[in-house]
Amino acid sequence: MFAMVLRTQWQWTRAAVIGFAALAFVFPALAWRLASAGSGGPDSLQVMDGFAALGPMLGFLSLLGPFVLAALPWGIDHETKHVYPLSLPISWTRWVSMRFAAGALTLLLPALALYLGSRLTLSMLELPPLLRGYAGALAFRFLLACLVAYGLTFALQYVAGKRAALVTLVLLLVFSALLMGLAVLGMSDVAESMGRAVFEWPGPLAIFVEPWTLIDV
Amino acid sequence: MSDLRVLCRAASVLALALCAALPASAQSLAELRLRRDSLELRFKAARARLDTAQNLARAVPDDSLLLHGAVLRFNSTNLDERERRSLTRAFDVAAAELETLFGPDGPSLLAGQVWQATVTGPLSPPARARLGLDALEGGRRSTEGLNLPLRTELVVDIVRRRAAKNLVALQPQIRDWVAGFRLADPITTHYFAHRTLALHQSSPARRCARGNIDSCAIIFDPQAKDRWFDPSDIVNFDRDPTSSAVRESVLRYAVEVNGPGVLRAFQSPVDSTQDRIAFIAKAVNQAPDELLRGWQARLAESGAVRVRAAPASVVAALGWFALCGIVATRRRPK
Repeated sequence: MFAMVLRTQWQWTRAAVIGFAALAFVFPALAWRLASAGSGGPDSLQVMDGFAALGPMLGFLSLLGPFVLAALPWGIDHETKHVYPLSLPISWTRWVSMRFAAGALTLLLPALALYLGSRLTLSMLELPPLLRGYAGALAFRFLLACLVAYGLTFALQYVAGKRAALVTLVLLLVFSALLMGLAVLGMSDVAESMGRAVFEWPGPLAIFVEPWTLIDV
Repeated sequence: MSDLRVLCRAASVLALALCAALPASAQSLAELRLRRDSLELRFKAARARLDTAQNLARAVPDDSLLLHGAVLRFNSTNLDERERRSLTRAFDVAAAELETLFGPDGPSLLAGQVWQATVTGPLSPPARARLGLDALEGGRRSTEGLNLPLRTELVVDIVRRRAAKNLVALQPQIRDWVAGFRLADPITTHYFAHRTLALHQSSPARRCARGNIDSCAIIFDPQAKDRWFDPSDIVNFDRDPTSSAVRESVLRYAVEVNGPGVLRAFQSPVDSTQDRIAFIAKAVNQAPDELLRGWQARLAESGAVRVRAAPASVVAALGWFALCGIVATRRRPK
């Protein structure tokens, strides 16, 4: 049963997964390329500069990619009013769990692509003895960030249903308005506490704000 | 005129002169004594005033808290009970941290600290108000501003930094050498020290970062100034290749290895002017080379520790992922 769910997941989302993986694969080279345009230092320092400037974009990519992977299968199921999964001789909980796990498995591909892209970039550099490449650590962090983003999107999609986009928009607007309102009212501490609850450990988005770096000491 | 007569006249003139000079000398001496006594009295009065001022500063008025030897004065500051409890808790946490780092005598680094709390801004809403924490030392004050409601960890950080300052103040030579010891998070401290050395223009500094202990000894040795840079180095400054971040990292490592030993060494009257590394090594009961080797190994692992996802972050991320999966299964379409 799981193999079947995984196959359909792959068929429906392969274009998105491949596109996402391609972006992850070229990201290290892109960061190097953009940094090399602005500085003439050694290659390894250019990559360090590139990741210092563009690292957060990798976090953004790991947030956006899984969003598509979670929403797409639900949209296809919803077009048929979920008749197919509801007609299966298994519980809804088990079905959603399998769908969730299948989607999460496909995230291994972009993480693997980032790892290979990073290794390829590192192989083109002559690293000084004191600098080290952290391709594995970077890809693992990317995978964790993808899983969290995928989990959040998946939960929102399956709980809010067809109103998921609206709920997401409302949540974002309320959160932003709350932060701005608190700042205007001089209650920046409360706003800061809210931000910390979300972006600091053990908050859900803490993994996104940790350093995204390929080369370091 | 006979010689005898001349002698008699000279003797009488001398006697007269002596008679006139003696009272004058006695008067001058008396005046000098008077002035000395006056100066002594003025000095005693000044000393008494200073003692009074210091006692007043260290006194515990009714509206103050005595926390692990540190005096936290409120002086009619309108700070509610909850915030006072936060401050107390912060001092407790800082004292516990110092005990962990330096042993049972660790909290003594808080003793003698005088803090003055002042609230600025309206108390309603309380989040608009700020708490100024003034550390009073020798007539000078340094202020740290904190938003209300207080975050305990920020107060702990301020108190910890003050304790670190108190520690290095016990050995002024080390204090000047380190130029800012904060007892900060060791991973971050060692990471920045490693990064500084790894990307330094000085070849010995880079060799030290690679694990060459002889090079580490060279860059820390003020007598080896001519070997701080290799002739082939592009930039050759006569400046010490170890920045304050690097030196702070050495002292931080020593505290990690043997905090109680470091505290004892700083409290002892041993002269620390000759060789700082030898002083720190002796404090932790190690040879200088052994200290530098251990420190260098700690530096070498700091980058990987910082870059790799911490186990706590991995657990948190997987926890959120699993929680979302569970939540998603809760609602079944009709």
